Amino acid sequence: MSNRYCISGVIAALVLAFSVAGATNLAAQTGTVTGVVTDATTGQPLNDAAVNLVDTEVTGLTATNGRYLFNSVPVGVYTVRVVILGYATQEKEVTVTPGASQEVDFQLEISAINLDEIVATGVAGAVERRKVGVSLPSVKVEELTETMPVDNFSQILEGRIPGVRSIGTNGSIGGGRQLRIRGVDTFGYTSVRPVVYIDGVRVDTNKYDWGWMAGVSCCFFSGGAGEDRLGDLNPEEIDRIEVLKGPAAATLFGSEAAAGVIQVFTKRGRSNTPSSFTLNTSVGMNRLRANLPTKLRPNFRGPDGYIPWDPNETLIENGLVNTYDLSASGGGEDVTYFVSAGLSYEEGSIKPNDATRGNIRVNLNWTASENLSLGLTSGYVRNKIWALQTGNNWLGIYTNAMLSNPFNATEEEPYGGGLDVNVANSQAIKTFSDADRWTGSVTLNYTPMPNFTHRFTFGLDAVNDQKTRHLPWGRYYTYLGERGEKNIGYRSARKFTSDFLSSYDYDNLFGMDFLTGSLSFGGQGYWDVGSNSMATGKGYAADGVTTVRGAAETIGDETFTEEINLGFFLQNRFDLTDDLFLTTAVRADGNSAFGDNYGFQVYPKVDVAYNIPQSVLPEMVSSLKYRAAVGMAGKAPGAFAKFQTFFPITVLDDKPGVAPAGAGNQDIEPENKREVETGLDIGLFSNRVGMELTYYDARTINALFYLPKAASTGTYGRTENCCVWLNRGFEAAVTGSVIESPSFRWNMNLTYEWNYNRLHDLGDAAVDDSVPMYTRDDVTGFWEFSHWRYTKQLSGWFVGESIGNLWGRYVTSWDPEASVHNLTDHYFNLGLRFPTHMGSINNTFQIMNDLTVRFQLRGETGAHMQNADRAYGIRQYGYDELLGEATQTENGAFELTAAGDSILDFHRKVWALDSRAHIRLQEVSLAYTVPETISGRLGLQRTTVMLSGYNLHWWDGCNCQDPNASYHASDFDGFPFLSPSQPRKVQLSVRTRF
Amino acid sequence: MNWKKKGRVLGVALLSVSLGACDILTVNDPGRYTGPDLDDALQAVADGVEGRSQLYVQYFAAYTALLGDEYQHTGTWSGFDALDHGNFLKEWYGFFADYHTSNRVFSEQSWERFERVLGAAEAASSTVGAQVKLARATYTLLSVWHNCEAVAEPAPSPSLSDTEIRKIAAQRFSDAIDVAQAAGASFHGNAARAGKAIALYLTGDYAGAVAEAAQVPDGYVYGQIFNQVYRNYVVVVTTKGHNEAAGLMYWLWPRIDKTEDTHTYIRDWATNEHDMRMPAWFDGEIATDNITPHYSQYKYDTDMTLIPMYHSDHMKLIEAEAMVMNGDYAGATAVLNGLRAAVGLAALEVPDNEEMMMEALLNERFAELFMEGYRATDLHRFGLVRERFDSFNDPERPGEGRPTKFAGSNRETRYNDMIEDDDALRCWPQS
Repeated sequence: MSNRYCISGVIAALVLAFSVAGATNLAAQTGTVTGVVTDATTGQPLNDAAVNLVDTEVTGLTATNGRYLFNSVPVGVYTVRVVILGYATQEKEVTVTPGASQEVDFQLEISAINLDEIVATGVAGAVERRKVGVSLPSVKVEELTETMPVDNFSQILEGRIPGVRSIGTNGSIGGGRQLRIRGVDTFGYTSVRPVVYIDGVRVDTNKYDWGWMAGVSCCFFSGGAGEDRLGDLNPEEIDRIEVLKGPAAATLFGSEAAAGVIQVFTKRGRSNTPSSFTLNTSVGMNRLRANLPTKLRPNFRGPDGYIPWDPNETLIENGLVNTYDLSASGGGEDVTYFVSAGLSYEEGSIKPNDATRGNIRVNLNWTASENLSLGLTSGYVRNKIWALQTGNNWLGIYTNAMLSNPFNATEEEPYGGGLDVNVANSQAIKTFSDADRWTGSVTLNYTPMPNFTHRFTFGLDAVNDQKTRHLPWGRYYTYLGERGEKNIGYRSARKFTSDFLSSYDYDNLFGMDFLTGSLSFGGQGYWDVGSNSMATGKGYAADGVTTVRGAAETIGDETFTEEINLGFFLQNRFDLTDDLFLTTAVRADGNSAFGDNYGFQVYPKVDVAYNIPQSVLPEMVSSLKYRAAVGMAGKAPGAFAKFQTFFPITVLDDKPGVAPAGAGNQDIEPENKREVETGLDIGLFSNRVGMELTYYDARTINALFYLPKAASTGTYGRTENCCVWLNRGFEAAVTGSVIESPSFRWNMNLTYEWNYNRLHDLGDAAVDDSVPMYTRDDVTGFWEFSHWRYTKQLSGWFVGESIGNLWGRYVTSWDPEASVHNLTDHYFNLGLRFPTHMGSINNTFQIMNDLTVRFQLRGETGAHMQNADRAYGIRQYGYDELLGEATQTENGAFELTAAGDSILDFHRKVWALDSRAHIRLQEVSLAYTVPETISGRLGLQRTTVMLSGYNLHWWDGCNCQDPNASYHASDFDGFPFLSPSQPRKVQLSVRTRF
Repeated sequence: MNWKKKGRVLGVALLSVSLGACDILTVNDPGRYTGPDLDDALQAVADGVEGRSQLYVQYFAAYTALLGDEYQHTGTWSGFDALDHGNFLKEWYGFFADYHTSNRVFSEQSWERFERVLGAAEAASSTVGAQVKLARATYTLLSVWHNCEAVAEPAPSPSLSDTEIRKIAAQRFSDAIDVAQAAGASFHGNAARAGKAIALYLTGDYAGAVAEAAQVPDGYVYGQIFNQVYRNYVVVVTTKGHNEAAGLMYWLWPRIDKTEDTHTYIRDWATNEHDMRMPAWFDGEIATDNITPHYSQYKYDTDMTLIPMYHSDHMKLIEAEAMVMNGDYAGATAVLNGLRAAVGLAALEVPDNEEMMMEALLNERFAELFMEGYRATDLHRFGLVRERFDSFNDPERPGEGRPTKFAGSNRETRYNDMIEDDDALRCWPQS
């Protein structure tokens, strides 16, 4: 292993040593170029349009009034180019004369597709989209926040990019949300998240409750809805997000990019722009949809005649939402800045649950000379979350309110007792996560020649999370009694990133036309260090003392992890013609988690982009790019999976002992994913309609798998590389201007995604096996054995199955005489856990330049759940489905009808199989821009008042509260299990500049 | 600026970093030991091996109570529901055998470590050696405590019946006795003798069992010890103040005074006196299923209360059972009465016939070994499962077809080349 690392490093170092040899200084007489960029139809100024002088390093962005300014431009003739997403690129010539200012204005036509847009993710150096052979979607965040409040990072990506599934799965404010790209195709699917970079720094994306990770089994704090560290990001600080969906695009990210990469770029100041301030404030409320299946409870009586509480009436409250954001940006000739501060407070609909987040960001850029610039980013956040006790949790508020028996309701336990814990006692628990986080980077750009650039980035993401839970003395809790408990723990996550990139553009090398293109090379390293610790005290003498030390019994634990990765890459793009581009690249990675008997992992890629000449296209087709790519990326093994180890245990009378832990595997390799991606970018009707069509076919090879072994080997198994997953899909995005006039504009964006995965090969260790196949009677819903399917099996995984299929026994018949449902003899595949078809409709209506109306509908089909919520609620006599079949006599006795007996027996035997298919009204906003005649009197510039709604309604047939609910707030979608719905949110916001 | 020179300096710096890459990529897990570390920690190895041999007794106690007639499920867990109703799949509870088998192999690897580090002679006369040998035998016995098959040697090795495994366990207890004697470790030696007695009587070798049992001193108890980390699962999941996922089965309720919040005892089967061997009470709760009144044991009154594994009272029961098998009802009754007298119960009359004698023996075993994990085994080995459950006339708990033991390990069957992965060949005793 060692030689390979060293050789690659040597090569990279030597290349660097010689790469800067051509540095030169330039000096000349100068002039100024300025102008205003506006929408050709409406005349509205366009903010954030990228303006540059072609073939120079002179570049900038328009301000909110659409103006740009380039000072100190050497005299000469230039081409000024303006590029902005959603508009057609324009170029104009300008002649710069000494000491004079040249005014060059642009009126841009709307365009649904722009292949001249510059992208920076997944490619070595910024490049026009037309030269890239992969799909590289992006979201311009500021454009969103201009007309709609966006409070959460996850919301930015929700329903906007086909292939990116970013949704809320629980009603805990600050709780984990689901984020994954192109489905799942790995055995570790429950914990897969794309890698996220902020300004080039790899950041912590944990969303799991880590109380139990600290090793103290007492501390599963909130049932699994752990705090989402991506929720630390303030969308008001974000300029844009770019997404690399798979290995074909993400090869250069190596051993961490198999699940995709998301690059977040925060806002920067603009040079030669006076200071501009933006103030954004909003107020609103969260409120859970009152669709809990408990509305019949008040029709019955507890043993003392007490009327049971219906959680719809008593548990759901309004939760305050309040945000303030203030930012300033601007810049002079050499220095630009963006400074922002934000404060948000959001309260859940089930209380107590809230999140208070404060963000501060300072981004500076200093142009030291014509060829040297320095960028600094610094973002700090304090995020304090009072987590909602919910989910698979004896202490859950929602859990105990829902799983209560109304026939047991009393004044002391008005819901009926729950899972042995009074809801009021659950609400008395204090569960806090208090996180400090700093993410920052230093970026040095050195451009010795216009065609030769170097970039070095060093960054750190540091998270300190203190987690506290207090179960007060004197209140009764399952497993604890009334003695009280306190847990306090720390999670520390440090991610260091260093990155070096050189890019050399060459033209007609050696006089040969086809030798035109760009050569890039560089290296990247990251070092992740994490630790969790937890101290627990149980048993207090009385109320008043809340320290761990004050408890009669104390325990503690600590875990640690560390991973280091070094990678080097080389990429060359051949500009074979003006329309045809071929990019080849290779990355080599060494990683501390790779087995000692394994060396570097090499990840190659090739992509081609062919922009079909307009001369051969039909008239209605304005542009057409064919793209195709094949690439590979990986996923490193667990940090210490290669070591054979023994863990310390406490045995006998608190004596130290040891026991076998990991079996170790010094041959372990990264899990690799090869992906072929092909697609078309089509512009129709003068680019008023744009389509992006993409098909991908990925194959996860060397999949990391905990290979089971016979216990008589002394171990249960070890992680090995063994298996192959297939993952295919199709993505379509259609963007268009339906109506375009100076007074009314209707833009529509449609996304659609189909995804399918299958376990293709389980390797040599797999054994012949068979799985029972059942068919379902559509009328009765009963299942009947059909036949055996012969296949290979390994540790409960079967070749030919999709990932995460739901398995269980189900009902074959109902015996009314015995009041018994009969079950299948075998466990069998009940259906898919993950959706196969997903889509969204985003509409934007702009009326008279003053009023903007947006809404998003999102939908999905194909996924199912084993409805544990329903089963448990019915078993506890708590849900309307059963209560509708119950009667109660005056003396309190209750009876079920025959149908009720059937329902009860059914849900005691199985968890009902319900569909997660639904359509959701995800976003609605109404934004009114106050006329300048009014805002100007107040000294304000563009001022917008917004009324918006989020997660407003959904239509489903799932017999559940929310078809997206997942108890673990994770990718483990199999069953909802007592996770409340994400609440509806309504906000009134004002956004102004001055 | 001399960029050429600076670039080369940068290059050299990167070169240096690259040359050190091999070391840079080295990490360690500070939370785990490596193999060489353990050569300096033989006592911790021995304690680990022995300590873990105790850790699953609590699960046996709870799970077999549900499979037998001590407990019924009163919570929401489908696993408890299935056990209670005898409605579980063959492969579900093989992990008991897996746990004990894998740890047995660790005990054997640890013994090899002791011989390597200490030398064979010193290992064979050491206390740590006695601990590991006792644990090895215990693991072997427990691998078929309520599973009908297991493996006895490191893989690849064939699956053997519970009877064959118990014979092997008896031999291994003999090894442990030898090492314990050489080391002067009488506590572990007595545990090994008791373990051997249990292994032998369960194979039908009553003479051998009684011979070993007689050497276990009165009052001796070797139990599963709980600590700050490992808590008594029976208490944690079945009692008030914890989870109430299971409670005493309803046929016992009439024998418990329904005085809420007052600890009492299950009344004696013969005299209706309070039997102090079976602490129980109606705890005043509706259990977590929100339906069933909760009757709780409190033999284990805290989550730190030890669960007996090997003890002298069990040895007396072995002695009594051996006498029953030899037709010595008077002798057996005398032994049982000795146990009853120790808790203040009136003496039993000598039964007139085998049926009455067996009823007395089983009831006394029920009381003496209450919630220690033997009841389901007793029902199985005397072929009483179907009769017993049919007597409840409970449609949800029919006797016919009810599993009487857990099957062997599914994992072992699948991944051990010496075992044919054929469902028809796997044991699955049903009534």
